Amino acid sequence: MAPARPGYGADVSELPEGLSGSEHRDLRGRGHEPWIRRAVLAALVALCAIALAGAFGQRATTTAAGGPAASLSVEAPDRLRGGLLAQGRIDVRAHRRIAQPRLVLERGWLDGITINTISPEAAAQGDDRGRLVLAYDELPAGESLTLWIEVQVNPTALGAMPQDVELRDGDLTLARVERELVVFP
Amino acid sequence: MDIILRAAAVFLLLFVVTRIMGRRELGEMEPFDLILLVVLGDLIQQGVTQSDYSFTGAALAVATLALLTVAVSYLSFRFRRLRPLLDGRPIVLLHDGVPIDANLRRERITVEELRAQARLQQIARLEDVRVAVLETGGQISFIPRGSG
Repeated sequence: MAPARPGYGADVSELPEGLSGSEHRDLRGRGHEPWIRRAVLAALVALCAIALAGAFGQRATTTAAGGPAASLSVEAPDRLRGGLLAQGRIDVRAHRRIAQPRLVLERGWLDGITINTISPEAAAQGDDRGRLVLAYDELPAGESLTLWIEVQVNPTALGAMPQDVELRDGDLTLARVERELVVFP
Repeated sequence: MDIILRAAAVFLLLFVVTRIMGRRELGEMEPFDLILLVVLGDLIQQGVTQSDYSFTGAALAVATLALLTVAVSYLSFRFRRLRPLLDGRPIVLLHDGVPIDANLRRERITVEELRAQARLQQIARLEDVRVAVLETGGQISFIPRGSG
């Protein structure tokens, strides 16, 4: 016979086999269960809130650097997820004539990332210790060069990687933007 | 292989989410819930297989989910203490015709819903029910007075 519950009277009927009055009806010792549920729900709410704040991508951020010869600005998402398509924009403004503009992209632009297009296309491409070097035609003083890079993150890419961009005139570094790309699974 | 890890992570996520959603939501499928379930399946598939369209990838994902399902089932069968965690525990919603408000509130079930469920089992009045139990699978079982 199940123990009488307040308000039930003494002639309370028996619960079915396998159920006990204290555990399954009065839920004694189970007071923590709703709190576990609430805690997990709160964690899910927090996860969504963090995502809405842009913690998991793919909002674009702008980083800029400059010197007496030129200014360099990079606008691209710094947080992405596997499979996402994204766009990067690199702006170069020449304060003086740049005879041999070179843009050097750190491996974070390439490693685990498929570059769909780079517009305008470089006159020549090269490698500098694993970094991609894009060579463009002369940039007169006061002129600017805008580069658009369309990429897709490979599903297996994961973690943080440097995504620096360096502007050179030949071998001379004019400006350098330091960025980091974080790829979530 | 990544796909096995992703499938295992998704299994764990789904397990936790379905356990905290409450049994009521899972046991009672309205058309909207059914559509949501299909959408959920599609979203999960993308997260697990991503751009892998191969038969090998599908086989690995299916095998991982099947093995984990059997593993959870075995753990529940083998270790009694794990059962409340893995399967949950039944909750008595009504005893001797009297709804237990605290338990109904805890499971977000109204007395009207309880009556509707009783009618589905050809029970006209809750007063005629000896015990109503929310089972671990989300269904509500009714034991009429005078039986058992």
